[in-house]
Amino acid sequence: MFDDRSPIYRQIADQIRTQILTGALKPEDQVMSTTQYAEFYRINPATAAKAFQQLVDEKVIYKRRGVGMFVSPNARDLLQAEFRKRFFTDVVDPVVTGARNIGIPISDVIARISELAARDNGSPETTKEDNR
Amino acid sequence: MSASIEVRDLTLRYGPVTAVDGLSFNLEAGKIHGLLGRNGSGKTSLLSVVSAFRKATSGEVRIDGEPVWENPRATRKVCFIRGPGDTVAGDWPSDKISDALEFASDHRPDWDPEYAAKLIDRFGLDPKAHIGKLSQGQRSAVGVILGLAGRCPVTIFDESYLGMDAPSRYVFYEELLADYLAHPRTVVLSTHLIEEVSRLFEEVVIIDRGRLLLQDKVEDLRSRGASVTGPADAVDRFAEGLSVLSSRQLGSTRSVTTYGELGDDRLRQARAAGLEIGPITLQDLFVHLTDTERLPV
Amino acid sequence: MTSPQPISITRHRIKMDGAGIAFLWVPFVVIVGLVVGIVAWFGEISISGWETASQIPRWYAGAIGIHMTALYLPVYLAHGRTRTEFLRQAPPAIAIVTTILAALMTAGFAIEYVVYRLADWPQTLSSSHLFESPTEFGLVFVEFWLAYAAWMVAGTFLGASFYRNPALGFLMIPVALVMVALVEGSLGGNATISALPLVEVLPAVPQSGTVGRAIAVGGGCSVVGWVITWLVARDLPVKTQAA
Repeated sequence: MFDDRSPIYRQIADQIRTQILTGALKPEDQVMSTTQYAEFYRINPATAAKAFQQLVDEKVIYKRRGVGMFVSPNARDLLQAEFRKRFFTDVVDPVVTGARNIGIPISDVIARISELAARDNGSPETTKEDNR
Repeated sequence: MSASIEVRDLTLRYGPVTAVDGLSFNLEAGKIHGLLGRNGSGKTSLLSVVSAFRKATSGEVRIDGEPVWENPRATRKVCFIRGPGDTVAGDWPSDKISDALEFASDHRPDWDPEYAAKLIDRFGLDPKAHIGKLSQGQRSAVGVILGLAGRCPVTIFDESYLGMDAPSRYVFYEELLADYLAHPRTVVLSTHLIEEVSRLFEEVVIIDRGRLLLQDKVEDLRSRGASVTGPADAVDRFAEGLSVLSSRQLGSTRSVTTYGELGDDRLRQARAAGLEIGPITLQDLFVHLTDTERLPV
Repeated sequence: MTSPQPISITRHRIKMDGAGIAFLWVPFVVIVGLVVGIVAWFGEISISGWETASQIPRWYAGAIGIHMTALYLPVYLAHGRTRTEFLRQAPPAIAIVTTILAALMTAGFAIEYVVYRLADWPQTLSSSHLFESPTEFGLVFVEFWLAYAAWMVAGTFLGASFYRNPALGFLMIPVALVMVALVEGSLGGNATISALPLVEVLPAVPQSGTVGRAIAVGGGCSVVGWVITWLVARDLPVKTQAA
């Protein structure tokens, strides 16, 4: 999602992020424990813990001592903001590089985007819609 | 219950041959450690001293701070399963699998007979079968059972999969992880089948020619290795300041394996420059690291 | 934090070897009885069959000793026991297992005495012993005990030596022979000595003597034998597997 190098802990973190974005995990929901993740994916629990730590650092989840990990109230907003920030570097920039490499003028790319936007009835902000 | 392992300036010689050459490192308690090294790198020799199977030529090994050699308090904490494990084989009629398990239950105070019975079932063994008549894979399974059901604070498996087919190996990995989660302890896995087991590791020790090559958390180690493919000059620019473990070229395209911290900035630049950055498996990393003469910086 | 303790090696050896002896004794008595019966069928019984049969348990005692170090000691080490634990805890087991073996062999003479009396055969001894008659059960027991203990201990240092290094093992064979011949000589057992291999190369062994001397020689040799086992096994490496 962020680059091609996806160690297992990143995959787990990504999976939890996706679950939060799609609403499968709601604010204040408990996240499965590192032990459960370790058993399910047959990985060392420290690897699962590393994924959790990453999400804790991003304030997407938080720890309740002796109980477990929970989804932060504003997790979804945080993730959406993060995704939006990365959208251009992660998605748009490679498109531009690719187009250049094979000699497609940038104006053609822009034209295509405009065309798609027009077909969607001028609503280029679908990604911001609540899909619940 | 788990215990730490300290190896201090350890040397083991067999006559003129030096198998372990001044090794020092610690293995933290309660983790699964991978011990990697090529054939003849000294893995088994090292583990033999750790488990007091052999006396060190010099230096020492401590288990939970106590010297292990001829110290029952320490040796009791260590279970070393080499290949198929050490059992009385050939002493007819007392070399049945059930005899081997009884032997272990007599001498391993934390032995769990119900768990041993469950594992016998999972590996499809007949407890009345004579150990001398088992296939190599079945003997390895007996070794695995001795190691898992013994619940020793330090449990070491040295290629305890020899002759096992893939399904049996997966039973081993699955049971090892499940039992480790239920009864945390220090586990050392020495293996050549790195890809199969690397997900179980928390930390990795790589030894080469009896010396320590590196010790690190497995995820950190993995994140430091990368394969980079693209136009030769762009790849070279990217690899500046990193250790290049291997390099191949096809026309003007170069593919290198690098070892070193890759910051997010560097990755973004690489992407912008049209480079393809791929992950590298622990096994590939191991092959490259033990192949080079110099140590990675 | 303190775990339950493992079984003592003394108890474990008695459990393993005591069980083996108890298991084999009845078939052994039956076989000896059959052989005596066959001889009686075809000819005349003029000597004690049990006296001849008592040679076999000597080799069995030796085999127990060899097994103890060559086969079981490495497995003890692999199950978290130490060489020192084994070297301290095995001798009481050897004494007790020898007691069981000697008691059962003495009982054999008693059974034979009853059977021979019923059949009216003479229970004559064909070799010299500490005892004059097979019914001197105390002396019979002492003689068997001293002999079996020596054989078992000789087995332990042979087993340890062969496990350690086959060359050392071969070197220890004459040591074992001398030790066993000395003990057998002190018991007056010329029959046993002449049954030993390579005995011609040995210097003449003083034979026969008093009970006191036999106990001193037998006990002394067994102690010295165990010291040899100690020296060979105190830093014994568990061998790398061939497989």
